[in-house]
Amino acid sequence: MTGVLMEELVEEVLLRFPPDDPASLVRAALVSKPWCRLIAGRGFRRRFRELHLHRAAAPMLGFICNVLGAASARLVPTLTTSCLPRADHHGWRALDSRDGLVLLCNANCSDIVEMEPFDPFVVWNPITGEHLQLPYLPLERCAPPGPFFFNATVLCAGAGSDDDACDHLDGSGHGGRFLVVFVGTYADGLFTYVYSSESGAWSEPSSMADHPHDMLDSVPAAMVGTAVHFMFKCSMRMLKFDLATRENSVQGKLGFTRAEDYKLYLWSSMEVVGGHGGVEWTRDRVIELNSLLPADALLTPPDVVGCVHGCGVVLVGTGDGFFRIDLKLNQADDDVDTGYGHCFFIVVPYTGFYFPGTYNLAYLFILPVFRI
Amino acid sequence: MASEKKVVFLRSSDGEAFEVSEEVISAASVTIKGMIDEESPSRADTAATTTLAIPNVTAATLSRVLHYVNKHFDAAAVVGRPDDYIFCAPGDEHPLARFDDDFVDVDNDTLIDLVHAAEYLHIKKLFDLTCKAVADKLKGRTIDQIRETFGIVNDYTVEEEVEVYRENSWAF
Repeated sequence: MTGVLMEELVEEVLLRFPPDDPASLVRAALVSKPWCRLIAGRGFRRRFRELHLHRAAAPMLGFICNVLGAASARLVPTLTTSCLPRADHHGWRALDSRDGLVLLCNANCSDIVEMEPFDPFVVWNPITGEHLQLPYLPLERCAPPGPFFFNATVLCAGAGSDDDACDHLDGSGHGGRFLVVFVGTYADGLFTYVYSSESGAWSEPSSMADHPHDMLDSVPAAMVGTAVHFMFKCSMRMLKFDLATRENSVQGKLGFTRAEDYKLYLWSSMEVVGGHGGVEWTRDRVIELNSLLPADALLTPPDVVGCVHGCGVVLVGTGDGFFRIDLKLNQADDDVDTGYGHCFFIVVPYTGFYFPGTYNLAYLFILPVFRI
Repeated sequence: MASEKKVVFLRSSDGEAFEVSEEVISAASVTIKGMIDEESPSRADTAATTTLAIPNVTAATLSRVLHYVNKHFDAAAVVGRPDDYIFCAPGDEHPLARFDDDFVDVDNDTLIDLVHAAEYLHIKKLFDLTCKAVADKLKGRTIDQIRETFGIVNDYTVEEEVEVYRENSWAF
């Protein structure tokens, strides 16, 4: 049997292919039909994700840089992932990206708008190249005419449920179904809409009686458990929207990172008991950027431009491109050439597991098995 | 009881016997631990050393496996962090990472034999290591090279092949 890998061990080997080099898995799928069938199977995808998530968060396949001045969102693939072609979306900015999907917003909409009808959103899947324009938001149902601040995020339709079978990290789970959560704040109120790709429509709005008296910030939302968290601009608090209950609440506890004087400061806050929303800040850590970044990158003070969901990686923009800083390892990674120098203001990381496009073939192969 | 360490002999498929500490091999191999446990009642009252037949593994492979096992599972030789170090980030050196790199730096057939032996003997760490090494070997190869390595016949029709290429054109 020398040299021939036992069939049941092929899966074990393929599971250990590097998730940040998806092309290698594509080549493997082309070796033979049994290999393709294996890689296309849900079981394989789940095990692959589990094995590698055990080690780290989903690999970063690229970044979407919102370019200052150019009103453009540029997808920059990381070095090993040629599966994502460099792509520019002129006239758009990326609000957020999760589960393999990117939420783009018309660049004419700043975070405060007075627009009717309001339909600035497109959901983009960089892997398949699909774009979906979302329908008008029926704002007249809840908000009075006038300016409001908003933010929004995109999630796989399985997010917020306990569905273990969800393959949402490759953007194709639940048949590519997704949700978009939209939050707006205006003078006297706050409202949330959820778009579901399954129904193709926005939900009825849910509002919150207790207005936070603050405006939404445009930084990407954070997902914690089954809830999405949006930052407020002034009060250093967050709006928590629970996907399971569809309820809004204001949270006082959070952490953030900022760069100042060539140092990265990590702060966290606790709500003061009985303090009517008052918070107390503590500085948890200071990271010296001088020791992490090359001298060329430090000619101008660096700035935090984004962070990677769930894995403690902060993106720092410098005069020499931007760097990934791993807060756990205290390590800076190579910079990524955006082709735009440092003229970007928010960088949205694009993470996920990329599996080869074998859907049509897998369907062909697997179907006869069910017929038996 | 004698303080001297108990040993067992493992006989390879081609008849060569290897001596190994019972404690070490029991910690490493679920399969051999099971064999030893089965044998225990009958050998408790005899001084004879146990010899276990390992019919699926050749002497060449078995000696490599035991080299690995002695390095990784001999409590006197190993310090700390026994688990999952193969997933350490680059630069995060584990004392045995270098040993492991050299251990799997072998030709293809030897490596495949090690995968099979690790699977049969149920040595999880060695199985992880060798499977990952095979994956690392394969990831840089072309489709034809992978087929050649494993003696796989291309069973795609031209139409099917075109379809997969079309769906994944970026990868080529």
